[in-house]
Amino acid sequence: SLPGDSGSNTYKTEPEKGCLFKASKVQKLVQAMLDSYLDGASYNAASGSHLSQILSDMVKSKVKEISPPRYKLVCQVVVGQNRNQGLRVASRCLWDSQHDDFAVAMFQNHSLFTLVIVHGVYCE
Amino acid sequence: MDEFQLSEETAFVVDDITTIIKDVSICTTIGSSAYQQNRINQWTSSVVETSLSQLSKLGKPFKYIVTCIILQKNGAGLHTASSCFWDNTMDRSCMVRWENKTTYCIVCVFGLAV
Repeated sequence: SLPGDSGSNTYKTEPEKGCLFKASKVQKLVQAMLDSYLDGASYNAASGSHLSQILSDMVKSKVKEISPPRYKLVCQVVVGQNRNQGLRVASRCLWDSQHDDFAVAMFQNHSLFTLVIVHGVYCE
Repeated sequence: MDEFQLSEETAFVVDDITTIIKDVSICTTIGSSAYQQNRINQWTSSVVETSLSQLSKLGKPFKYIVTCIILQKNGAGLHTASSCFWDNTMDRSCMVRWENKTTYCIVCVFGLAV
């Protein structure tokens, strides 16, 4: 059932066996998407925000296809111009570490860098 | 079918969370300090951990994801975006942008109802 379906109570407090969010599988999928989509791309201030939103929606749709049931997904994308500036991204979660997980993929060339974080959160 | 009422106690209040992140987490961690490469690891960890502990003190029935980006100001462009597959009625997110003379700090908070 979809995470939004709050009409029926199924008393499931854990995912079924074998139905956990597989971070390594998601990581490989997202990395392949970035490598192919951004191949030869260069940073453009005018289209940067559009690119980040397109990537975000695209990654979320693809991950949703391979995601187990009852998992909510949060997908974040950072696209930046590569000018040798210092940058640090950190993330922390308050969740159930047994069932929730995340995957990270990064792409970089001489002109831009892109970071994608996908969090999979089990919904009771 | 039961009707779920969104009350103060169980809602994700964007304004409250924005204030907490800005005043408690970012200002006390970075404040007016200049950007320093050897300090940003500590800054990002501190902002994220302080934010999360403040959020958990609210005692609301949410799982939280907090992401912090600290960026040196040197004229480079940066864009962020997010997409979520969640429950539109109860799950919320908020983004806080902060800056001083040498540093940008962007914090994203996602609250997923339990």
